[in-house]
Amino acid sequence: MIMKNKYFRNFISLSDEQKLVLLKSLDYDVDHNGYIVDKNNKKVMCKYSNQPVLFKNASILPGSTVIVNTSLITISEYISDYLEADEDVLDARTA
Amino acid sequence: MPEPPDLNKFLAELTVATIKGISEPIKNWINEFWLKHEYGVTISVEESESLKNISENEFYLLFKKYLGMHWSINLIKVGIYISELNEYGKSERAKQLSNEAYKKYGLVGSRIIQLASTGILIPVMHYIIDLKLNRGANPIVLNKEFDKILDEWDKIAIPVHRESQESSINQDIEKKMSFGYPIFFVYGSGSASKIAQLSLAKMNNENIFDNKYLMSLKNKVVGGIEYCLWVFEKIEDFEETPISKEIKKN
Repeated sequence: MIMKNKYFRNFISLSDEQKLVLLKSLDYDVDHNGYIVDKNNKKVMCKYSNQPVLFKNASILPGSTVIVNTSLITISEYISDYLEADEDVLDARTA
Repeated sequence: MPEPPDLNKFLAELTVATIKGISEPIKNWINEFWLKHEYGVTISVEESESLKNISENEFYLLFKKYLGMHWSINLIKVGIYISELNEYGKSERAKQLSNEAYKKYGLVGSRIIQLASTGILIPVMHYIIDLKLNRGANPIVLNKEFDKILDEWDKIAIPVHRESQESSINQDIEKKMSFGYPIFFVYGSGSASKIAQLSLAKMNNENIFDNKYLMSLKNKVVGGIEYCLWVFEKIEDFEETPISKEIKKN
């Protein structure tokens, strides 16, 4: 079960240069075809689209680091998994 | 709203590193900041924030709570977002998203986007919520009911357009009734909803639905436009929900 992130504030955008620094700081890199690779040089797969993640289309999300191909559907899936209130919270709210 | 100081520092550190390279202290600081889990980096900030806001909306949360686990929950948020776009006349994005939804979830997935595009998703969600509130339907029943609506939408829904004639609306409704569908819908927005309203009122006055179907209305008004969904439930099936009777039988 995925732990919900209670600390999340906002989505932000970065320039490509800033995004690359962030990725490198988190031990990722970009290969010559533009795909994000991990420290073992393995392509990072998007857990929602099941496709390798292209740098130019990547979202880098906390949890601890979730790298996905950006689409409204993958972001919605991420929100459900990591940010949305759990059922017990909903029960407490509507009780 | 001003950005918190840590975020400004994060952006500044990233910018410095693009020029000077990633030193060990900068790398450590960026990692430390990242592990606070406060920000997500995306190429689509506005849409992601919209989805996040929807995920915190009480109506959506109530729907999710009552429906329980359902394959469509991720698409529902997208659908609500499409409804909002549509209300501002941005229908192009709805087409793109419909294709994406189809790729991942098939026809029933794109059906949710279709309902959203016609402004009727939220009234359908209201119908599901009301089944819980008014008749205590459990999540299994609600899941099946929602699936059936999505699966059979083309068969059980009658769209009313601005140019629809009263006679053709009546004919369509009578066809559904004679076919004996346990549930069917009539929907329209703006001036089309007025045409539908008038036709249905006349049919009601002529007692056409009496002892056959119970009619109820779920509607929403956005920016002065009314989106209406009339629900017709067959009275002989009206024990709990139309679909629950079927489940009890099996």
